[in-house]
Amino acid sequence: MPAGRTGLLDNIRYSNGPDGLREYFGKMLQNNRLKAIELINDSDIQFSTIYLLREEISGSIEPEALNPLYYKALKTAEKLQAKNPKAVEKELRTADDDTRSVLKWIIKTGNPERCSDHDYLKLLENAAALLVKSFRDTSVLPEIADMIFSANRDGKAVHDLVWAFFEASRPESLYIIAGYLNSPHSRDVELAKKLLCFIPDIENASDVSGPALYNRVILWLQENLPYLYYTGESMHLCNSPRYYEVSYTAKYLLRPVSAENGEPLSPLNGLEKQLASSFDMLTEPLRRQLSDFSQMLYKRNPLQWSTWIRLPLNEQARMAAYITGGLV
Amino acid sequence: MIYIAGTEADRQSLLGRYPGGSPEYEALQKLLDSSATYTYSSEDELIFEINMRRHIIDASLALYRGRLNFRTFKESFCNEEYWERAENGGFVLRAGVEPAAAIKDIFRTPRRYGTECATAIVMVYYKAVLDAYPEELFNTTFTRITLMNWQEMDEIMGVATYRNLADYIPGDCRYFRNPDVNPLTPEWQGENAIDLGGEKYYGHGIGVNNAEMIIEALNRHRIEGSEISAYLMDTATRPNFKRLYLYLKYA
Repeated sequence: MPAGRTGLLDNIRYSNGPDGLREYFGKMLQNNRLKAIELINDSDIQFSTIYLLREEISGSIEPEALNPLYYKALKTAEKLQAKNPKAVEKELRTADDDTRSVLKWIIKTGNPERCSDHDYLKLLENAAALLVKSFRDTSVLPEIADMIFSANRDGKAVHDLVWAFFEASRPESLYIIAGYLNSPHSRDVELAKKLLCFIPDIENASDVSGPALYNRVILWLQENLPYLYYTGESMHLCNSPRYYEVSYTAKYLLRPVSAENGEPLSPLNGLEKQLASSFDMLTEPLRRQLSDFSQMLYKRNPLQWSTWIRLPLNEQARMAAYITGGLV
Repeated sequence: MIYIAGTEADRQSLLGRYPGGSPEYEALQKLLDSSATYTYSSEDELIFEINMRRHIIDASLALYRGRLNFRTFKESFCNEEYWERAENGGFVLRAGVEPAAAIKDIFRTPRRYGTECATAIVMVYYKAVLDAYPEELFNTTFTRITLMNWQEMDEIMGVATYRNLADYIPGDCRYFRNPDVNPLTPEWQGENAIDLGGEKYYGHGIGVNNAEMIIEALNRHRIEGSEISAYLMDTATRPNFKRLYLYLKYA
């Protein structure tokens, strides 16, 4: 049973399964219709339960007797499962403000755990992708991550959910994935490592695991987050997509970038443009090392950094090598 | 530029092996004309790669002509005599079935299979290796095949994706990304396509087309009103030709 509040019908579903739930609710509708309507309108009920009872509801309960959120959720689910995706996407995107809340409620209480109904899983994937891509709503990313890792534990395909998650282009969401490095389930840890494979040394990190690996990743994210941008890679493209890349130029100049395209958030000044164009001609290892050094020096001594960044590039590299003991 | 065992390759003798206009000729020409340096331990190794690229192209065209069905993972299907459909929509080689026979069945009866574009490319790679290896070696090398986009591929195959390459060569698998795809049709988020040479590509579900036509096809599945076009990414996915060659040589 998932964490959070649930209604009586949810609890019956967990204990008796989908068929047991339908049987219970069907009998309740026959014997005590008012009680059945009260139970289905429970403010804590989950969408997964409402969805399972959709036929009983549509056959026996008038729309006006149903909580408007639940009624609209069922109508939205019907649309998401219809065969004309182009029209549906537009209709839902341009519909009233409630649609977003309905989709969010579907995702937050959809709970696909132990569900093997492919149509239902597809519905949740569609709702997730619609929220992220059409509504640019990223508040459900923790729930989407939860669905990804839960489906992966069950051996189900996760590539569409993973795609929806990363299409948000929100580097902060990487903290959610990093949290699964601490999971007691080895499949969670393996998937989290794979999704974060653009972080140096994470995939083959055999020396550390659990909290130590988590802490290492968090430190890396803290240092690089302002300079990360989404690459658009996906599991559709390759086995180990690198979802994000660090803009070394931005890190070297300490200028945060747009996560969507890697461009600086504000225009570079003349000196910065000059520095960037020389820096971009360096080899990748040197760019990576100089950008790391720039970040480190600024943290230690901003005044020293502003002197250093004005030196010619070869001087910068020499000084960096001197200070780090030859690491650059 | 090509170096074989430390010496610059003889352009004329290499190009003379293949007819002008063939994918092999085009591949060699690109390697020879490149500003990057391509090194091979022997001419045999280079020829193995060039022939493998040709096998990849031939297998792609075979799937295209055989009209392999396009299906998402949730709707995928296969010939259950040779393959078991997994929960995630991938196909797992049945116990007791010869790997070569199972791969051949896909190309003999492609209508009995339905999958998405990345898995189609994986099928192409296995067929290309089967065409390059003696059947017995293939059967003893690839004893456990799973066809599920890029996941769970055999390590010997060494499939990897390379970014920002100096050259893209016939036989490469390229990727057309559709950033503004309708979220309700994620299967159109992009297209894996084999470079057939002559500026043509094979993409499962789209067919054989030039880059503009593939982009146009993807653009038809964008969010309505979008002005952000699909585009060809600077990536290429390739099997590890060197590893496959060494495996063949020393097996």
